[in-house]
Amino acid sequence: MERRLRKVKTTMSIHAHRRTLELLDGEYASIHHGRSHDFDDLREYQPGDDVKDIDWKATARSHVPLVKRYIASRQHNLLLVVDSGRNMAAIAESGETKREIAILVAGVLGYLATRHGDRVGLLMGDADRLESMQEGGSESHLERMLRRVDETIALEGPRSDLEGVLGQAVRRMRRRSLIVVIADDLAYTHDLDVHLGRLHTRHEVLWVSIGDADLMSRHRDHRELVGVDSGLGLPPFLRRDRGLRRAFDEATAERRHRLETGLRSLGIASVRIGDSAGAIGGLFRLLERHRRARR
Amino acid sequence: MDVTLLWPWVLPIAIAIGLLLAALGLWLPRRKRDRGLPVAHVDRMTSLAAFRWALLRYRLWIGAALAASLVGVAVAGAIGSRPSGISANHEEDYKRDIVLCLDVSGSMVDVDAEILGVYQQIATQLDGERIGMRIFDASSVMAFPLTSDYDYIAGQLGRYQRALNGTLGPEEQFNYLAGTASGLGASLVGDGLASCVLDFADLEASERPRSIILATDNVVNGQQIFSLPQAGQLAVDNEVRVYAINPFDFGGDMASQELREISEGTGGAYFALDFAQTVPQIVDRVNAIEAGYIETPPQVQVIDRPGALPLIVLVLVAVVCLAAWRVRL
Repeated sequence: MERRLRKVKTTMSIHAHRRTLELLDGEYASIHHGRSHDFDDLREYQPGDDVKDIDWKATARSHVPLVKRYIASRQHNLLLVVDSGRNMAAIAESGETKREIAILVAGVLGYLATRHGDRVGLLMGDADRLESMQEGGSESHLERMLRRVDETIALEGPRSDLEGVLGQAVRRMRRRSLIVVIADDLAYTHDLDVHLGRLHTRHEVLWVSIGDADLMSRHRDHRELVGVDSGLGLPPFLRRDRGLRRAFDEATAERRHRLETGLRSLGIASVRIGDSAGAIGGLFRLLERHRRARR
Repeated sequence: MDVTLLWPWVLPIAIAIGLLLAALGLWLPRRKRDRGLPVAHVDRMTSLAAFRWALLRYRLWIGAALAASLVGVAVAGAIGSRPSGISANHEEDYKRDIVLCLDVSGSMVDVDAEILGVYQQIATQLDGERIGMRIFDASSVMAFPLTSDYDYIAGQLGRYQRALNGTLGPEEQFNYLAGTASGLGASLVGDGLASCVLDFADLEASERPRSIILATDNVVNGQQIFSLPQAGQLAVDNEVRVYAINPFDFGGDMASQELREISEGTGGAYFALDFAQTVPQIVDRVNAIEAGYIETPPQVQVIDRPGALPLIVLVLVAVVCLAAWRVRL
């Protein structure tokens, strides 16, 4: 019954070449720092591995590049912070639901983490609920988490309140973790800045924005759109309005820019993912940015 | 012309239906509002100043469409209730047939000429009437048949009048008495009247009022095929009214008495030509009596008068279409 995780793996292999996946794997492995000197074992070099970790002597003996693995590097914590409000049940830029993309992102990162022996935990919440799942290292644990996310996010669910969830994360998370926030095209507010800042001093924070659907009608788009917050439809007349479209485009670009600059000024790497096809590439860029930002 | 509503109940029904549809039109979209793809962060759009303007314009368009359709329904209802005017067409229908039946025995010539003179004047003002003429003495001769060719009638009447007066020009000399003397006797009134009655065309089919102006002194001299009462009965059978003009009524003589009875028995009248009555007066009175028969009741027509209302509906429908297209309801 590992449907969701299998779907994640399938999507990964569909949307990414084997090499990309290896790169992603190596990228994930190298984002951790603070490794201990307790040597664990040797393994074959993967593209993306830090060159510093290559055990040259062992490499000379075995004819393949080998890297040293340390015990500490196997016991990282990955915390997935997911917005479980009804915003995530809305459609994404691609027309898929944001929930699907969020599960894919969470699944890919979780899968990478479990493969590296890391423990993955979940914290999701909205205006009414807050649900956390303890860290676990198994794929079935990851599958359970993905299932919880899938079940929890619904259109009938409470409003989204990511700031509140992040505030809770600041209070709850004592153990140093890699925190991946799976959110959407939020407005960058003061509260968000404060919570993220606090979270980032203790933990490493990564930010994934699931791109929200375009509200304007372009290219003869006749879809009916309904706002999940208000339940009110957006009349096609308004969605076709040229002046409004211009203002909307400006405001959207401004909003994204503020989010990006805000996160960057905190030192948080971020990526915006609009569809499941671009998820692997997006995550790869995210990990890369994170690694660069740190060094 | 006052305009009344023929079906006034249509208007409130149309307005009620229009209001109902408008209410439904406002209410139904509200219900299906939650249909459609869910999108998050609608405030990305709704918080914009441009959104408020666009929304205002949107509402104005919808309001305009709604108002136009409501007014359109009301106006259509007004048309549906059939604004109509009543016009009474009182047509003076003078479509009668007249046969001048003139006794041309020597004693009657002056009176005949006078009658012809009067009808000559009348013929110039006629429309739709037909006039024929027959003269009789011992036998009867058709001077001209029933016709509505008034120039011809006037010409013939003038010709006979001049012949009777003896004032025919040298070019138009004719013997107006030709054919009137082939019977046995003179002034055979019964035969003359009977043949005049039979002069009317389509006795069975025609609905036109028929009358005969009979000028005679009823002094019969000879053997008649039809007696005067028989001729009168023939007239009654064929609904012909006989107006008799007698220039020699001395009061109470048998001939005048008989003529009076016969003519009045047909529904016509009897006129003694004396100092009290001239021929034109008699003809006026005949026409007055005839008017009672031929007067048709005024034709009451109810005519729909929607006026410019259909045009207004058309314009309003165009406005609604424009708004619907613009707003893509």
